[in-house]
Amino acid sequence: MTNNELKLSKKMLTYLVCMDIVKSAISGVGSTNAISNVESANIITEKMAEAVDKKKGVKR
Amino acid sequence: MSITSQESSVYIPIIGTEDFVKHSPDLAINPAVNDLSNTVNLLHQRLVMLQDNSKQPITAKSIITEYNKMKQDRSNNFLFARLDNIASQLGANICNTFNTIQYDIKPTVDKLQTKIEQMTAKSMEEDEVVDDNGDTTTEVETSDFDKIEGTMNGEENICENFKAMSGLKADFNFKNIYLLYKNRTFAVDNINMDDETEKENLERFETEEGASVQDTEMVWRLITNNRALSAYAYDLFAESALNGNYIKCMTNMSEAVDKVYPILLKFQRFTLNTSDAVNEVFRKNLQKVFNVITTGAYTLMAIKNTYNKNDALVIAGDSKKILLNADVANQAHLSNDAIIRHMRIKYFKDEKPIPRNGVKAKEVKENEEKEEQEFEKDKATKQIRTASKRRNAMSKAMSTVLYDYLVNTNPDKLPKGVDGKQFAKENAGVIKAFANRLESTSDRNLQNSLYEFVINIWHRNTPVAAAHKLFGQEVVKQLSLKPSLESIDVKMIDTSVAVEIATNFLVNRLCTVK
Repeated sequence: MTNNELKLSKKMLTYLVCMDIVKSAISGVGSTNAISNVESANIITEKMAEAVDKKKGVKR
Repeated sequence: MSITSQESSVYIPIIGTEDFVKHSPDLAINPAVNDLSNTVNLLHQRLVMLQDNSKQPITAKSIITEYNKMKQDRSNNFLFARLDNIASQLGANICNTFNTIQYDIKPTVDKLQTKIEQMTAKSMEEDEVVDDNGDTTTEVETSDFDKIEGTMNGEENICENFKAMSGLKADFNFKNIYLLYKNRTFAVDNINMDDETEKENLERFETEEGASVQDTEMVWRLITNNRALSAYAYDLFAESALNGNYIKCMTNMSEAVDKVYPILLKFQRFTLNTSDAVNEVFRKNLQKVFNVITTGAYTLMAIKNTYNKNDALVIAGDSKKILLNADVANQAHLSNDAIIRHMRIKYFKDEKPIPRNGVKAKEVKENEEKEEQEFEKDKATKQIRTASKRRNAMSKAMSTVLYDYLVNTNPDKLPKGVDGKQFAKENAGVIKAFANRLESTSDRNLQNSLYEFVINIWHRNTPVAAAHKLFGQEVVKQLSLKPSLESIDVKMIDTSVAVEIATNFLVNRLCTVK
């Protein structure tokens, strides 16, 4: 595996782990269960990107 | 839900392209900070091994496939259990935050809001300002002529009975009506009956005819007491015929056909348990009372005739309720708004009395256009003035209700050694600030202000405060996309807020930005 591939797989894995933690954490909170998996995945993706941008100081 | 039970391929439609991977969030976990970073590193080592063995090209899709395989592999259970542990702690925190908002703060805010709104409404009512235009609400009713005529078998029948009873022409002459009263046409004779017989007869009447004690006694008094009937006749029609107090006749006749007339009909088929001679006097007296009612109905028809001849549309009322003459109203084709507007401008504003012969439909029609323009011109100014009055009343009510709320705080919630009164006093400045800035911007409406107040008092700098802020932002975001929120939008907002709390936690606590 090249360095770039290593970086890519680490990023992807980190991303997947965070997605899983968030998905698991919010299950059963409020009416989140009424939202489909795809919709909640969309929201998680968007919010994770927002949170990282915020951390980096990127204005959206 | 455990992490290993989740199928990560659901993310493929979103992140399953190389393009996404190139632009994916630059997440990196600081290995020195936490267990999660170590766990990810360990998982990564295993993932790299799996991918090296598979000798497949490294793509987002292949990484997801290998990651899902790792979830199924029991030897990785201890690593995923750590992730589950973090997720469940995070979930419990989010759940507590949501529950505090839903089951503690929301009911408190709802109660406070209801109290403040009630107090505001009362204050506005006292100020006689109850609609958005700054006016009192004016009800419109139509006259009871038809109901009364209907009960007495119609206009023709009333006139015939009047003619038969009085020997006069039915020419609606008010003077003749008054003379009938003055000439003691309706005087009743004394009924010679002892108290016990009277009591026994009336009780039998009430039982047999199903009449109320109160109504029976009142009508019996009219049948047997000359003064009572005379006073009744004066109130019912004579005063109206003499002084033009038409509305009094209308009100009293309406009550007479509802209460007195049905009892009279019942007495008509009733025989007193006494001598024939007394029964004969009773029949004659009863007829006199019928005559009074007939004359009352006839007077009312004379009043209606006067109103109709005069094109009278509004016959009585004040700023709260106006009474229309149904015949003229049906032909005039004027809207209630136009009529109310005219009455407010020409009569109620300067407390000018309504003329005895009513307000003509022609008068309303002639002024309609001008008054509508005038009204529209004043509307904006009035609305601003009313909004300002309402805001001031609400702000005042808010101060009172919030102060009272803090005074009555459960002692368990108060700081040690501080009672409710002291606590309220200490927070008087906060109450004043919230009350003063009420409705100063669109998001400072009553409900938002109360949420902020309660959070400020009890949950300052807590996840609850942050979550409430996020809810507000999400609602604004959704409302910028559509005019109103539906149930699915509320669910999306719940999800967005929960996700945001979780992602912020992960990114802020666990990630280092490169």
